[in-house]
Amino acid sequence: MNEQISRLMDGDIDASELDGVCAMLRSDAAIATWSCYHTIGDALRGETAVTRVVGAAVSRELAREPTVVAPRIRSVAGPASWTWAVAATLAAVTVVGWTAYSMIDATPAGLAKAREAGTMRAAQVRTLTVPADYLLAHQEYAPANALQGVGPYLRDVAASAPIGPAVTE
Amino acid sequence: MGDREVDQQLVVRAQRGDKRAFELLVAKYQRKLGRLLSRLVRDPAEVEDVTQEAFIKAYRALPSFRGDSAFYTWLYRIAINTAKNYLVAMGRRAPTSTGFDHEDAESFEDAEQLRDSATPEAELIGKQIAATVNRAMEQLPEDLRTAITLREIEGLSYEEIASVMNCPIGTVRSRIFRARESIAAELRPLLGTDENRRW
Repeated sequence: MNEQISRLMDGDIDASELDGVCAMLRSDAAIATWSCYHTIGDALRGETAVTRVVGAAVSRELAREPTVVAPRIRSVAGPASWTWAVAATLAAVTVVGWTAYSMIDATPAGLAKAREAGTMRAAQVRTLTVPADYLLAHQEYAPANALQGVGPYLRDVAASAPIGPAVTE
Repeated sequence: MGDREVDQQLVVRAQRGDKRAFELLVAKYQRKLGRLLSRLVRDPAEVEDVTQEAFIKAYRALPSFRGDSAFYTWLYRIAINTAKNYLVAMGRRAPTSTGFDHEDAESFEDAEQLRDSATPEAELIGKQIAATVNRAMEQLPEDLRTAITLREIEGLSYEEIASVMNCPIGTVRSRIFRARESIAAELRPLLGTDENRRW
């Protein structure tokens, strides 16, 4: 029994053995051994008690306390959880990929059309000419432009009166 | 399974209604917690009261413990709050939090300061325990002494000790157990002499 207590202290117990060891640790003698072994460890590390230990007093208090029953803590994700996560990811990628692939016209005729459309757009961009004065006059209506905010200022300057003597009535 | 996992397993059992499992945690951490609380509450009798109260509060709060932190770190926070509330209730000011960071929970070494706050009885018992353990260690065969030292002081795992001592893990397991039993044989009479048994 004491050897199992020693192993439990050092974490050298399999999960399958744990229930048996914990059941064995219900006796006062087993708890005394557990405590004695921990006292040895504390002493070797120079952590000897500076006050009287309170284990017995706490035990008496605990006996009067209503028993705590808490919901089970969710265990750490194990291999099964990872398997499901990987499977779900693969399924999602497959669905998205298949949907995207089915929307593409991969026939030779379709590819030729796509190539032709690209060429036409490029040609249109190159030949597009807009008068500079037209662009300047409509700067303020552009949603995003490096000159945004300058348009109104330019118009105000153009509308200002010529400098001269003030007119008095 | 590491130290934290062992604690976690005991907590899970306590959460399912096994009070004995919680008593094992009390037996394991009572000295460490008492030492830490000695920094806040100087009077040894009050340290015992606060330590006891902290454990009971921790037991009542067990349903809220989810295992996100180590059990001792969680227990430490409860103990510090218990001590501060106690000092406030007694009309005393709690020390500032800077001296009681959570890192202290894992590594606290301030023996000189603690000795000042120990009762003569507690100090005597502490010295007797240390002397008995040291004497028993000196009487151990070399291989047993090395194994228990590597485990308790250096904190090595069985696998690491087996590698250092160049022997099978089963041998390490046996040596550590035999070392503990030899020392315990010397220590048990001392632990059983007080009317409040030190389990």
